[in-house]
Amino acid sequence: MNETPPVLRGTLKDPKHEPLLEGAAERIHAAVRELKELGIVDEKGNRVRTDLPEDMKEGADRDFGG
Amino acid sequence: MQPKLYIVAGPPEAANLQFSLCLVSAWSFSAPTIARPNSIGDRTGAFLRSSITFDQAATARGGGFFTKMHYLALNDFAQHMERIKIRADRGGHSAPESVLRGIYDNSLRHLARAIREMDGIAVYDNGETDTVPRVLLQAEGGHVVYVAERRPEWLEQALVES
Repeated sequence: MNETPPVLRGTLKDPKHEPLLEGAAERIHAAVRELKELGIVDEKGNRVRTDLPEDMKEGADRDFGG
Repeated sequence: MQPKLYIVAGPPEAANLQFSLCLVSAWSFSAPTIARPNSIGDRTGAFLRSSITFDQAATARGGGFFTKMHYLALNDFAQHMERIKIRADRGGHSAPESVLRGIYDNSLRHLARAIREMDGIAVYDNGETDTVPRVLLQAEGGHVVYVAERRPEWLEQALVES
């Protein structure tokens, strides 16, 4: 296998259109609005709570398996 | 029409929750999740799996699939941690920092390989809140065809350290 890193040089000046991004803005805005309404994030999108969730404390038996 | 295999990958919480492009879960790079077909336009031949490895993606290519990866990351590990906390606040699962750090490092470590091996890949900066992710790099057949002039440190490091 070729382990040489890809060269960071492209031939295009602008990125190609990515269909995946179609409608992404609306989905993102809706999701952020919901988080604000739930009081989870503030107006700037920052987390409101300052504590560490239980599952994130060292020793918690969690693997974030998705 | 050639069937397509869409893979959404990246460090934990790079694309999920409020920042999602697709309705997929969280990903480590060793087990990136395939986007749900209906979230990317019901393209004929797109399919869904709960996880996939490089070998499985190669098998798909051998079987005639066009493999396209969308790789998203945030500004840095700390930002990933904050978004995972938000996910937890919303009732989602999370994990200790040491676990997440390992997933994060592994994900970035495998990015260069993905650029080489996927039929197509788009790499995004998803670090801005409430904003559509910015395309940083696109590659086709292992060749970079676009790279943004302004790119984050994690992308530079991921490629240099591969």
